[in-house]
Amino acid sequence: MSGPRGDGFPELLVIGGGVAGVAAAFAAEQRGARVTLVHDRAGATELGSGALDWLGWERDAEAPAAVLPEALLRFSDALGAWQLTDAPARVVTALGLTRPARGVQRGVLDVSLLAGRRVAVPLLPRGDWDGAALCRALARDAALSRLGVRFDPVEVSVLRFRAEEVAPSRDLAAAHDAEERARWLAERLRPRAAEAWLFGPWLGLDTPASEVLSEALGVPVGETLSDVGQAAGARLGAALARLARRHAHVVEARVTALERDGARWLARCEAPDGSPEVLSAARVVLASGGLGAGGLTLTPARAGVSGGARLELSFAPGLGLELDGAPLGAASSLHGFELEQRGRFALERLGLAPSPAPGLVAAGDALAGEARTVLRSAHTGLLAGALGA
Amino acid sequence: MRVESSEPATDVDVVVIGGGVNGTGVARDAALRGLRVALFEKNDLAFGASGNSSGMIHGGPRYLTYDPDVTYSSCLDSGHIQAIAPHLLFRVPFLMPVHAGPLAGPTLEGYDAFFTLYDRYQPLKRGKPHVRLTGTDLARLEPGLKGDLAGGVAFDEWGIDGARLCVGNALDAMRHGASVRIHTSVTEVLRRDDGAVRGVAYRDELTGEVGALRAKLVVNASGAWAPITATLGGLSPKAARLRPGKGVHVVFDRRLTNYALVAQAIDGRQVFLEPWQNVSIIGTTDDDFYGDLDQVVATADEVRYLIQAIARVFPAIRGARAIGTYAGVRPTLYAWGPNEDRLSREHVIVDHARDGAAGLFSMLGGKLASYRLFAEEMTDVIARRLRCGVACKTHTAKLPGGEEAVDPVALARRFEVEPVTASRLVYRHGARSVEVLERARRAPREARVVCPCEPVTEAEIRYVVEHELATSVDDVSRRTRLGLGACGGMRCAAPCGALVAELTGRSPEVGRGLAVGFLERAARRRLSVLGPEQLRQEGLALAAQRAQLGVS
Repeated sequence: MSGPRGDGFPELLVIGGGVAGVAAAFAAEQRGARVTLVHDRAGATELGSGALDWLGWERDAEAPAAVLPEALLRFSDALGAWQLTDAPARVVTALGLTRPARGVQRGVLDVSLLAGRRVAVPLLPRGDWDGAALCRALARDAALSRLGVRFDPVEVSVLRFRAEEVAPSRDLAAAHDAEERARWLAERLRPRAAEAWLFGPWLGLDTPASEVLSEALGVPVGETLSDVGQAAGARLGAALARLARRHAHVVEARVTALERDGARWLARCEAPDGSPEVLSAARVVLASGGLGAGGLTLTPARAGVSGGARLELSFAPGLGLELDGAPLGAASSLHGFELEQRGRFALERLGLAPSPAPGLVAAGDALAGEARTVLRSAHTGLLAGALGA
Repeated sequence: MRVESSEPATDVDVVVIGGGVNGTGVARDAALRGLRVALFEKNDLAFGASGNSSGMIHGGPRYLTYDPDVTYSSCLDSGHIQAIAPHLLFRVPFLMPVHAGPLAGPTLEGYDAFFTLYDRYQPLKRGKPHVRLTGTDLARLEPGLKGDLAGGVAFDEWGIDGARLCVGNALDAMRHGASVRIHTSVTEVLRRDDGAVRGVAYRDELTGEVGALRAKLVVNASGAWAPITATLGGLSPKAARLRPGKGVHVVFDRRLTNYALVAQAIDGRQVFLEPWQNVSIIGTTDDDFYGDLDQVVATADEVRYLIQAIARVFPAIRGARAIGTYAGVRPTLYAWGPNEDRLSREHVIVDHARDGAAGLFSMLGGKLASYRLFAEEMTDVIARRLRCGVACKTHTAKLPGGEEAVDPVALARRFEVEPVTASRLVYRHGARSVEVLERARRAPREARVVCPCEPVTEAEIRYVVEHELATSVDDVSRRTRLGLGACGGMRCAAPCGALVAELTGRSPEVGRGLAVGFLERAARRRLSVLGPEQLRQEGLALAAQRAQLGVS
């Protein structure tokens, strides 16, 4: 395959299949655009913890009344994975920290709905789970004592095999996709007569086993927040993939360069098997995620130029890397920019510096200066999709 | 006229300042001889050069041509360390390749002759004699070696975990009555009107508690901090003058080679790639350093220098995944002029009676391999001064855990843990592994693996907090290597912090703070090795940190 495709060019090309890219595809398709979405597998979406933030949780706590945009609520309904309500939710991490959120992903226990209840926490020998320490930490939580929610460690064997003590939490979650496993677990929990159950992020990858359990036991059952790459991120990824297929032609490839060709954009791609492909569109939404996402190329140093090789974005024109609003030449320490001398959390402050180019819109984490929350990313995607349609 | 006792009452015979290998070595030696000892360390055991070395007690072939005494004493003492702590040692066979070219023949002959000389010292440390290899041999032994190889030599060294060595010495000192206080700074070396020392004033950095201890003698064993420590007694820093040399290492996520490789850097210095425990290390640099000793980190420049050098013989290093760096400052003896590499690794004991401070001694210089000998020499001086007639026993008395050999496989079977968990545990604790696993048997949940990279169990974390003075995630990490694997502590720092806080009677919030502190320092050590691919990985680390700890 080479050269631009024949007739019927898609109106809009979305680069990136994370939450911002899929939102852009969704918004543009609803406005009648023909959308192609090109993505190179998992991105930051897989880091999802299951808590949904709008401004970032510290700021959400200060300004809980912010009304979410209508378009975002429609997107959430179409996605079917989120619960966004007017009242702020409260969620628990595996370490026993609670925090507010604008909403939760299905499967995550919203403790703000459990006022006055005793929540059972299973004790089990997994490295990522210390039920006793979790309960001790939660007992000191001011928000929980206001709500009157208490957590009790409970001796109950919820692992079926010895290997599950050391299996990655994602594998344990996958085991709970089987309906039979959820029924087995429900039978084990039933005699305990708890008022609610809190588990780690193990209750299903494809199916929300927590809902099956909750129905079987007649009490709320849910998970703590997920750590990176655990169940919550995988569930969001699967839901986004389903939505993308409904609203766009999905191509799995890595975009290596984005070029201007007259009035159109050409995206040079590399398919998973290494074969080249070129996609073309009048408009492009760049939702390729934060730093390290596709399109970084290494330009060998020229003689007489110090500072080592330059890393720059092949996405032309005028996109560069910036730190705190100032442009940067290279992206990594090994190629010359000595991140260790840039202070705390330098990496997190890095972003793409977009400059106006006709028909090119950036969304999500590719936008520097935006708060990097999942709802915010989705919203920038929706705006970009509307602009691009 | 009233007769005054010439010996005023004291709390201890000797105060040792510094919890590195020299300080803990002296404390142990003196305690074994029945002296009353107190050791103060302002950070943690092995916080400085001892815990940030190349992890070898090599015989120092580098010094053979111009400082053969260092080679002899290093090899001899390396043999002693092997006898007292066999569990802490592992063999590191080295390959020294020579590339084809007009000088290859003479170079090989030179290496051969050199290592024939070194072979004379090898039996002292149970090392095997060197072997001359052909290019084909080298390519077979280490397929990653680059280019047209004329041949080379293989020689034998021993690897060791320097932090465990310090902990072992400190524990043994405590077992023999010494008091060891870490995270406690000596704020002043107290002196009498005639200038002689009479004790120290100290401050506990965690609780803020201050106090004073009366002592007959004070030993400054604070490594690169020695000149600063000298000023605590009112002396000029020049009284304990050093030429501190910073050395950095880059750590890779796995054992990249079967053998350690020697390569030549752009400036002709020799650097190495070494499979060490379950990672690989490249090192090292040697540069004058006059910065903040409590905050030494490798810079991107230093990392590039090392990677470039190793890539000349082992190009795959460029694609390998670096997971961090560590840096330490050697307390090299002062000399004006010579290149850093040529500075002596000899050690000296300074009696500050020459500066008017009788009873104060500084231990300057030295290296990991000969720490025991240095400690013996220092303790001999102390013993003579205090008229203690007991002889040194540190070359025969076993360090804790070295009492008997333990078979990890049998242990794994007996306690039903993974063999890899058992073997790493046995490496660190030797015969004491049984105590750790007994805990897990009494409370089965303690068998859970908290740090999967290493691995480290909850039982071991509890053990090092209860028996090895650990009070923070960093302390646990130095003792167990928790959080030093590929994931950089992402999975284990937080649960470890929760455990440490619980065991030391502090709140879960404090535990989270300990974890955040550890992760921040780890991130800082990692920044200088980030390649383009790893930037994404770093994003993961940050996201994990925020999701679990609420750090914004």
